[in-house]
Amino acid sequence: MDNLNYIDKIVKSKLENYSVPVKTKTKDIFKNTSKKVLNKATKYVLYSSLTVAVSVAGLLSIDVISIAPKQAIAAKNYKFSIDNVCKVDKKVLSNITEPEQNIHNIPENKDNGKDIVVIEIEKTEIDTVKR
Amino acid sequence: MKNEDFEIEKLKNCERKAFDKLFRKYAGIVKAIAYRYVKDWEKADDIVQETFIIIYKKIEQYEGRGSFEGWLKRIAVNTALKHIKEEQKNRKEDVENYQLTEEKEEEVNEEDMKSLIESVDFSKDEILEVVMNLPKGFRTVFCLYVLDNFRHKEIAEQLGISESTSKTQLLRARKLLQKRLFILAKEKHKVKKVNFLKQVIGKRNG
Repeated sequence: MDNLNYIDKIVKSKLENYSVPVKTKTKDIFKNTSKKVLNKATKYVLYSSLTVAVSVAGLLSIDVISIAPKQAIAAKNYKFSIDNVCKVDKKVLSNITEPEQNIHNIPENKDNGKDIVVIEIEKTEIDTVKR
Repeated sequence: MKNEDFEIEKLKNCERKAFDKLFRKYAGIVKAIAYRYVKDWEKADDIVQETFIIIYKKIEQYEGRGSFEGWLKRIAVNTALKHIKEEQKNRKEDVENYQLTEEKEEEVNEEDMKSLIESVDFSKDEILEVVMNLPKGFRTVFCLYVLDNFRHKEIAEQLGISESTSKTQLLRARKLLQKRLFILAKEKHKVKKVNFLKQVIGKRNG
């Protein structure tokens, strides 16, 4: 096997610290989430991809109560930025309203638009989030 | 106190600027790592976000024993592996199921292959393409072992395969890489020759 180690060296020399451009910025990661909330536990997540939104919600143990335009309006009232809130397929929505169901089996629906809102609606805490 | 330690303290204090700086420094590397495993730039972007969320949440757990970069990369790899495991679960795939597609082989001496491959300066993109075109199981094991410094025992645990399977996959990955790099090296030499001849003819005619 030693005679193939040179392959490892060639690949390693080119790819070990390979870096590619990233469009996302940190402000997108914790979009519209105030430092105060971040310091607490990142309770609210606004994400540009359903996969990330759902998995992050799972990661942070957030109950995903809603991903729907109706709730997005509620979010707007609480000063969330919802420029690109989209319509969500009913099937997807019915899955998401049961967050304890196998969260990773929720299908990604890219046709729905750009932004998805994941919100845990709890007035007192939403009030702490600044625009 | 080293500069990086200072930044880590700032991260532990939840200072947003420190986090921005960390993201700017490492996001591209994390994305490249993620891509090696998921072979999808969009998913790689998702993994970048998840990785930094995890780092943000777990920064308190970093005790400074190993290098911070190593710790961060390990989180990126684990996050990417989580993604491919979920995909495998959904598609009922198994890393062991990836078989090497038979390709017609010409008999070439190993030493000849080595000397030709080593004579060529491949670009990063060429190497990436060759690695990414490996069968998924080979690629995963190869990247974990060679690029992300996992041991066979760890690979076996992560992928749910035996250590001997991990070793076999690695060997096959290396052999296939060698073969494909050899083909690429031959093509590059051919192009080089043609360009040289064009130059000579051009000079004569000009």
